Amino acid sequence: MRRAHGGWSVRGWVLACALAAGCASTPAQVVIGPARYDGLEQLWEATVATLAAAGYTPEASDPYRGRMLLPSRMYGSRHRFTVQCYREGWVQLGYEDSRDAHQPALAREHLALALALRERLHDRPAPEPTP
Amino acid sequence: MTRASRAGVLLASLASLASLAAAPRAHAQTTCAGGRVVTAEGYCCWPGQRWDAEDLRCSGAPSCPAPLTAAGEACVDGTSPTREPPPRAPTMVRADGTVDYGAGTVTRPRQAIAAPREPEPAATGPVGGAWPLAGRAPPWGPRNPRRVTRSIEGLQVTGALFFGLAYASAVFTSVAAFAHPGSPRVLGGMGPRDATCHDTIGAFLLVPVIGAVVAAVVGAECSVPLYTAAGGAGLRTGQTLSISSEAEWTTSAALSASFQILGLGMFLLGTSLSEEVTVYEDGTTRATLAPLVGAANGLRLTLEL
Repeated sequence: MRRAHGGWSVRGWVLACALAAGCASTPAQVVIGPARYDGLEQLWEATVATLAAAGYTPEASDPYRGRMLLPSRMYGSRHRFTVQCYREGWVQLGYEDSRDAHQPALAREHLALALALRERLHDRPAPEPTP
Repeated sequence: MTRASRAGVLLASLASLASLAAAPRAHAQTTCAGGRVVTAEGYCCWPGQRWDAEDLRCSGAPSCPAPLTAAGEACVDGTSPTREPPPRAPTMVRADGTVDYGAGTVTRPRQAIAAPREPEPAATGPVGGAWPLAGRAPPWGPRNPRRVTRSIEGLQVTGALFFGLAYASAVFTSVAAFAHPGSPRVLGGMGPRDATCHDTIGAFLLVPVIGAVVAAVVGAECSVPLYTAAGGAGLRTGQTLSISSEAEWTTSAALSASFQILGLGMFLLGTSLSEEVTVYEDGTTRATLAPLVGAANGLRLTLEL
């Protein structure tokens, strides 16, 4: 009987830890936009500039397909974030490995990056109409 | 190099270019050349293929128009060397590779990133040339996160839940108390019954919070005089009738009072305190209750649609 109680106790702790880990995660993908730019090049440049301002240098960049690979800035981390631009002006920020979403430190970094992108890309005023 | 060998090299180069052109490099198009057809997503693929939005390429066995023949997921000229379809690994180029935005073209990267799988042919073309189309709906994922300071909604909801359940329990107890026939008012268990104390508890329990407290206190103290029957008349005795023997009434009232106070306290605490949270534009409807301090003090109910 005592063993049974101990088993339930262990299961309870495991469940609690799983719930805590789940609560600490952020969505695996965050979408910014649609950004209001005159063209895809401007959106790409703005995205790159925003990332640079946030201290991120893409490890790999594919402007043709609208993709970037950003190394995490956590010390010693080998995790990477992905950026995917869409023709409609959306910018999708995700984890290279979706399991990283459950790591609190990476989740915080992911969220900070998403907030920076939103402030720069989504909150900017609409471009002036050209005569 | 002899003239014949030069001609051979030239022919081999032309064959390579032809095979590259036949590779499933897709662009968002309205019309397609070379026998390819427009997919629902607006990309050019060989007949029988579909657009793989994840890998940004055409996938599936093609039904090649004559005189082309299928080679993997590509259609090639029978005389040209075949070329394997691009792998699933995403193509990435060094960020320090030269990118010419002014000309609208991207130069070939100096070095491909070491991918775990076979590298895909380097992407060339204008910026955005192969950006995916999201379609009508935005890409998957919550949209546009932002940090806001607001009431502690978890505490508010928990408190409201506690209060609601405790008050519902009080109402049920109240109904049961009103329905109780009461205790015999005459010594010996005969004669009319009296339900004054039950009715008193039931009435107080209908009042939120303070009513349950009063019901718990009054229920324990409530008593009515007992009568004795003598010659057809009821004579008052010195004894009293109480419901102290029915402890479930006062216990229920006390428990309900405790949880109502606890729930109300949690709700008020959650409303008065604030926390910084991340919210998304996910299009859901939500109501927010927050304290308002200024020209007029009170609570502000905000409904976001």
